[in-house]
Amino acid sequence: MENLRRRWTVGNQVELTFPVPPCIYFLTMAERCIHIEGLRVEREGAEILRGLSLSVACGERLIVAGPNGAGKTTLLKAILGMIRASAGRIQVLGSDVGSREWARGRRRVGYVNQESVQVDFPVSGREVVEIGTCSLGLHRAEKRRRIEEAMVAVGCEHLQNRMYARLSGGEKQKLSLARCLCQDPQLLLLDEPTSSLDPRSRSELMALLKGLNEKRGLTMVMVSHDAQVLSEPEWAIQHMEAGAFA
Amino acid sequence: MDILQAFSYSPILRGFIALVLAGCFFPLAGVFILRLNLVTLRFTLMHAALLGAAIGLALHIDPLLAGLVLDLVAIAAVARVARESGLSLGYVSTFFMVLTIGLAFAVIYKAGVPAKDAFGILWGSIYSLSRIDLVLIALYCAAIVLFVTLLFPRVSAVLFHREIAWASGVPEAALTTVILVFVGVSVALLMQLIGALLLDSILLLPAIIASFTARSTRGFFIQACIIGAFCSISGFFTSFALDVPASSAVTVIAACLLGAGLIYRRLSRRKA
Repeated sequence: MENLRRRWTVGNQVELTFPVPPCIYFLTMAERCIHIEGLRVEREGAEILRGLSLSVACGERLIVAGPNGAGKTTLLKAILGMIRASAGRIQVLGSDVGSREWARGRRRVGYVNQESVQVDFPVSGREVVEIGTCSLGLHRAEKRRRIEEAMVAVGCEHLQNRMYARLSGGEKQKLSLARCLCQDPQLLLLDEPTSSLDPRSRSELMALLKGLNEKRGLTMVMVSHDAQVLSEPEWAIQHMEAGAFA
Repeated sequence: MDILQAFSYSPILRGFIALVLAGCFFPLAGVFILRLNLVTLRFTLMHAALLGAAIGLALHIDPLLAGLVLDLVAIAAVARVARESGLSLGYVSTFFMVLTIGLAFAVIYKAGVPAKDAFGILWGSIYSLSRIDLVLIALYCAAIVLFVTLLFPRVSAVLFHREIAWASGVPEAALTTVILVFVGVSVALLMQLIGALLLDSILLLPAIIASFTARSTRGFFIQACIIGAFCSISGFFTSFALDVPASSAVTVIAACLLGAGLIYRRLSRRKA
């Protein structure tokens, strides 16, 4: 199936399809996980994103690469709905970002952010994972089951009573992934998740993400400028520069 | 006068109960201040209360009530401006801190308010509390305990990282506003209880000490309350034994515990 991989690029409009023939792809356009048309984002008069269009099918793995200041993180935050678009349309899992329907289903999108939490704040590994369950309205037993399952899936159950501030970058990222899995997401947005990791932790994290994608069918969009990550063979790569796809 | 005899006087009994309640539960607001870096906001609230007292005295309204209202107005303004401008709460608080103290002095001068009376709001006394003050403090304690315990995972998410809380479906903007209101009311009530200059001993020091010893957010809240309770109860009895003001005794005990906490932290880091 690998040879059936297709990519069409017209200017800044990018359609990505993966191991399915094009005819089947067009029949399943409704299963696009992310669909962006003419996205513009402005901040203090400067145009950060300049008319981006992008479609990502469900179950895909995409890396958005580019130098610092290219607008990669802004793109992720616009998909999340944290940043308002000045023009254009973003659809995530069939709902327009900002609509009531989207607000109700916001938890279907997991977000692993770039920054680490302030050092010395006492928070345990389990409490970090628990954040993923806090708006789901689950009973205590169900919540406990989800937290434990997510920690086992990511292999971080030994971190539950450790202080978050004293963990390594790789361990923190595992907890972030477990937190997202608790939400039972369909889409994972990852903002430079490997930026503070050593090569071994980076490989482990990439293998873990691949496993989650294959076992759970999670769609993943990762922002990165890490050369090792960009050499990963089974991820589609889209380059960004100065707020537009290169 | 022995301690049992002292408790037969209602102002002393009321003061003791208020101090114990504040010691047990106000450190919850201290955790919010520490974690959300609201230390500057605390000063803004003191200055806003001073402005409120000045306006209250000029208009012949209860200065404490006016101070509380001005604190709530200041919090709403700080939260709104920070959200709209994208600036940090620290920057916006600094702006309002300077603005409110400037306006306070202008009102004091123009309205001919005796400055001593306006500044009186900064000097509290646990023995001057009315029954209504005590009820207000008890209601506030009940409200903040319910808020933290019933909404713990959500509050914890906001304290951990606001963007992550938002992405996890937590209404972080609403919760942050409620947290700011709790901080504002705690500052206003504590100013009346022990005075603006000593309120840190009940509000902040227990939270700082707990941050050295706690290993989880739950532990952080619980330990801050236990330390606050210890400081306030031991401070009250020490003030009787040594014949010093209760607020001074509470502050000195909290400061000693902070010193012990710093030594503990240094030793535990050396071991690690």
